[in-house]
Amino acid sequence: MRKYPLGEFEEVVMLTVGVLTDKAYGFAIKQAIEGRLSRSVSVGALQSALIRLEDKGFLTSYESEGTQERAGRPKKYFRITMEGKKALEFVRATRNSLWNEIPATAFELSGAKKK
Amino acid sequence: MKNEKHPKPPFLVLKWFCRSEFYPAIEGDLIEVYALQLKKRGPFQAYLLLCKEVLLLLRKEVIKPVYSVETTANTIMLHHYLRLAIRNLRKQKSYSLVNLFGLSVALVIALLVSLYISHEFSYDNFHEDSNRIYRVTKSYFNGDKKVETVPFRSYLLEHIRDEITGVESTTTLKPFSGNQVIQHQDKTISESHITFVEDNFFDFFNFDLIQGNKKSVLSKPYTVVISSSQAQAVFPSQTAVGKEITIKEAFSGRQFVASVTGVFADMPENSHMHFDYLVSMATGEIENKKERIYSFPLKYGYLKLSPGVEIAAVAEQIPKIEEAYAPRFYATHDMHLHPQPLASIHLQSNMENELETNGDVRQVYLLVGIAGLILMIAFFNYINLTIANSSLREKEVGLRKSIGAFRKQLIGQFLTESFLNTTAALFVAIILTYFLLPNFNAFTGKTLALSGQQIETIALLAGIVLLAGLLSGFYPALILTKVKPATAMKSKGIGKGGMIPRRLLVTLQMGVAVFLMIITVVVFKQWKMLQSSKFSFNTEDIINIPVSSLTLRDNYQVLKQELLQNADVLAITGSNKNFISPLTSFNGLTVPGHEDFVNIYRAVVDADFFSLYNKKFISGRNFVDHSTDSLNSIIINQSAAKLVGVGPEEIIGMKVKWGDDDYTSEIIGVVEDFQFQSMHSRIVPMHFQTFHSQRLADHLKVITIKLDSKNFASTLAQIESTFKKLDEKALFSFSILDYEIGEAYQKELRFGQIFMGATFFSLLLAALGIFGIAASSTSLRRKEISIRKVLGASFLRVLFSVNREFVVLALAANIFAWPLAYLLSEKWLSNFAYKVDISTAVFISTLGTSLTIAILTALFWTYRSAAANPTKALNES
Repeated sequence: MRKYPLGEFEEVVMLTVGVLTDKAYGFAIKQAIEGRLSRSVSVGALQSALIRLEDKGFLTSYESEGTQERAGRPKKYFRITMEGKKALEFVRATRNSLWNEIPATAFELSGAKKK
Repeated sequence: MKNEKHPKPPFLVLKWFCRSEFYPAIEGDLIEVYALQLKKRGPFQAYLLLCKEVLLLLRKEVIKPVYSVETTANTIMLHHYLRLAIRNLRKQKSYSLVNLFGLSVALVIALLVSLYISHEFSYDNFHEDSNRIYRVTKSYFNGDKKVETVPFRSYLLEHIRDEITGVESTTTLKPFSGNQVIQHQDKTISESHITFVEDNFFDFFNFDLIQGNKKSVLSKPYTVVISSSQAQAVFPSQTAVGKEITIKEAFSGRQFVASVTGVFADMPENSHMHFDYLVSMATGEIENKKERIYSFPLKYGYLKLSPGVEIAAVAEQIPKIEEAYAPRFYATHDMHLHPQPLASIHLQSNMENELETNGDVRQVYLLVGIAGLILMIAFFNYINLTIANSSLREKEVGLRKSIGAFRKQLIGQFLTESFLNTTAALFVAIILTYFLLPNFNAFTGKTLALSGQQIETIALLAGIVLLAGLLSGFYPALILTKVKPATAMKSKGIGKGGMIPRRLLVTLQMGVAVFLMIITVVVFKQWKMLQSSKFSFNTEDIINIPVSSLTLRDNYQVLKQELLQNADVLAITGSNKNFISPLTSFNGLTVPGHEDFVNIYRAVVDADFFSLYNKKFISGRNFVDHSTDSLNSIIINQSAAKLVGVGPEEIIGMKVKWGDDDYTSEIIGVVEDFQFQSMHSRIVPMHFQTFHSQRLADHLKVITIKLDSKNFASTLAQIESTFKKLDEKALFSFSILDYEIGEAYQKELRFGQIFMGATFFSLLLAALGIFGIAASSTSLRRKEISIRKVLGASFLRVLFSVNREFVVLALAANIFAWPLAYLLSEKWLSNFAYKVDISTAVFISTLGTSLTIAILTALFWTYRSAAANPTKALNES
């Protein structure tokens, strides 16, 4: 078992939640991901990721009053938990260490081959 | 909230599958997404995208679990019951199989019968206005004989249409009589399904016109609309419309040319008429003027009521029309017209000149009755076996109760089991039916299929079956769950649960089987008696050849002489009917000394008739060919002489008058009585006339040849070539008298076969019932038997004492079934002129059979218990 099970899309969702901080609810997260990453995200994919992350304990949620543009439906806001932060940091640390260990020649070689 | 403009359906779907705790937030998100898309791409695309989003929400995290905490305890129990039921079925494989088999067999029968019946009742329902269409038929009296027939003078129908309010439209048919030949270029096809129809035929009925205009296809003279199968046969891979065909009467050679104006889909099987060629009525009228068509004014008439009109209102005005336009018939023959619902024709109408032989509603009721009986004993069996088996489960019930099962829950468990059983049986039955259907079709002469059309029937049957299954599971459930846990645990695992009702059920089953068996025996005896009636000649040596053309008829004498050249042809005669076919033609005869005329049947024969069939003359003489006999001589049979009341010697030379005419004939001979139709009727008074001149010549319908059967095939070939020599184009066909006699009693044979099948299944099921009873009754008496054996009873003695129960059971069943079977057989036999006696031998043989079956079945268990080692059973306690 991995120490911090976090998929690629889940990571993106968590980071976006972090970016939006107090405004991180379903529709806003969707818009943000679509805007920054220029890819479309279905409500289903997003919601299932959010539910999974909450189950894993990386996110926590609270509901707010409904607003008019949502026909009175409540918004469900998400925040990153302590555990979530650790998971993100772990992922980032692993990535960084990997980046650091790549010798400069690795990129040159692949570039040379192309020529 | 004014902003609720988002569409509802996708959200309803979402709400149905989405976990309730997530729903509100997700819905909110979706509303925002929709609003955004609505602005960007318009309502349609937004709606589509919304649907896509909802579909994409079908994820395991979002969907409600199938068994969530919210579901009630009931479903858990049901789950539990189902698991238990399956375990029990597996545990007792042989019991389950026997049970399943019995039930499936009964269901197969019920399924087949209901398919058949739903087909029989579907006749003519495919016409849109089927409930508004009536066929008009005619009844009249000929002397004191009431005759019901379909065709009548069609001008009366026109008056009915024009003068009675409430009649929307009418139409008539005039079917061609006899065989026709259809010719197109060098192709000839023999056809007998041709009729003249009025131009509104396709408006009036809902037959499917594939090509051609409904309004105009039949409006012109010399036009014909043909069925699609005929279109393919006559014009393969060509369009039929626009081609010309010649329709020629096979017998007389009369013909006309008609052009094809349309093609209709073959008339459905469940129609009371099946024609292939519809010729416009205008053609018939012109042809009839050229040369009279036989009984052209007599047509088959139909009327359609205006919507909302009651038929009674129309029917009560018909006598006025009769009185105004047909006073002569109305007065002298008491003639009346009767409307008859279109949909009732197939099952309820059996008149003279029906378009086709119709079904028989009594046969339908008979089948329903038999299927019902078999289904009933199958369910008895089921109850019986369930109780038998469940008494073995008394301990289980006791244990369940003592650890806190409620009675309701136990009943639930047993009901689940019976539900499972009946459902499985229904499944097996449907599969079996599918495979048995071809055989069943061959037997009934239908083309039934398990298809979507019968889905209603099957669903209905399934409903009934499941209900009955539940009910039959209910009784054992009640009995079983009544036991007190303490006694159940203490008893040695064997209970007396419901032994008395079970014996009663088995007795009833056996009784039904005996009842069916007696009727089967009686029906077959009767059939055998009819079939093997004695003739004074060998029925296998006599063949009948229909006279199929005018040339053959007019050259009969030449033909006869030519045929007699053949050494293997022993005798030839011509007559107006086959030996076994019913007598239909009769004359009103006035004799001196009698005021009223008497109706006596008539046959037209030639002089060789009596010698061919070995019939002796009581007095007088035979006809002499080529003499004045054909003008005014008649021969009568003994019964006719008796009817007149004059001795056979004195009656010779008596002059008789025909009806009201002045025409007189002289009686020249009295012939012995003989059966000249099937054994369904008695020997009737009749007289014979002879043809052989212009007069009566058209009565020559059949040529009967007695031949030496040694060289049957070669003789037949020679006969055919002689026929062909005289008329090359005439159709040649023949049938052996022996075969015709067999055909005449087909109905009785089939009746017997139906009962035989039913007897077989009911005996099988009754045997299963006895098997079940024997199993539990021997296990109940295990200890008793052991003690008897220890005390010195012999094996046979013990066997006898255990089998006694089943002897009593079979006896009781017989006593209960005998009177019912006797009454019903008597009633059936009363339809026959000649009938077998229901002898005591019939009853004794069924008693013997039922006893044997009961004892043999029981022996499986009783032998075991009698042969078992007594110490084993006694050690148990």
